[in-house]
Amino acid sequence: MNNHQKSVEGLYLFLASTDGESREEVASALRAGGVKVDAFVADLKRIAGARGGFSRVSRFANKTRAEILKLLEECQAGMSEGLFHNGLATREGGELNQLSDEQLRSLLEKLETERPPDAQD
Amino acid sequence: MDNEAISKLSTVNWDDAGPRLLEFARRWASMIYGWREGATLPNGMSIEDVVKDAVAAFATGDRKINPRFELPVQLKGAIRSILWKIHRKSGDKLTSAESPEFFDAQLEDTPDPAARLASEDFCTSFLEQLSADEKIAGSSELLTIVQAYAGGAETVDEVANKTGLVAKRIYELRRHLKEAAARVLKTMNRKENAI
Repeated sequence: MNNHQKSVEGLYLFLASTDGESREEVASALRAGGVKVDAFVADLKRIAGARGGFSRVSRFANKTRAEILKLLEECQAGMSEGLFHNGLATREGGELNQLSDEQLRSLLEKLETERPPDAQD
Repeated sequence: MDNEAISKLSTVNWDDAGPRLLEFARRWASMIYGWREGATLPNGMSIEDVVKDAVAAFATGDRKINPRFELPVQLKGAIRSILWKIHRKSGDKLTSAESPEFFDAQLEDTPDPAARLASEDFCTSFLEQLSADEKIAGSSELLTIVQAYAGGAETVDEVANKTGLVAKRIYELRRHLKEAAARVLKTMNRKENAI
């Protein structure tokens, strides 16, 4: 990058930056622009996996089908029957073997989020 | 999912970083592409979508975290890159010619030599016109800030060292600089369109 490109980039970054402004000032400006700040931040946390239970959810991505089924069994053991079946309510007859790997992962994630905090590792 | 990236992303304070990234994206889109409040981008996305896509790109492993740069810097780079790609695909006239592609060069290997030259010309002209802007030329503080950046300053600390202004004052003056830059870009864009 040539000198003036670098200079202009530095200047643009400074102009677009929120450094030197408080979090509240930034949020207020966004709200004034019609942004639902809290909902947006919640979305980012979900995408970044920063919400509770992320460590398990992120691990699921590389799990084999057998490992996911085992985790589902563990999940079942750690939860009340009512809660577990509530999580499975949308799955006909709870036939886990009929679900795809992706569906199993989704179910596991769903169960993780429904699991009481003290039941999670 | 990229487990390592997820691990790093989970350390980010999103309550603070989220709004800042979004405001950065809004300002960047406004300054560089002429985006206006309430408008969607040429491909129908919102600015919020762009920021979410930038975070998702790292979370899914589509974009790798570079340990040489701080994560917020890389997230801003991803936002700039996505905005650039959206506008490049749309074929819309850019407010500041090819410059975004250059600015991404810090994190990506993209530009070709011809575009580099065009962008350097644009940047030189921009700095000259900004220095000559009535508001900037009429304020020794604003002029020294522009000169500090033109002289190679990259951070507010470096601008403070070059100008003798304290960081707080530099941030206070940012609004005036932004207005002047918008004026200059508008004028330059008008001339480009006329050619």
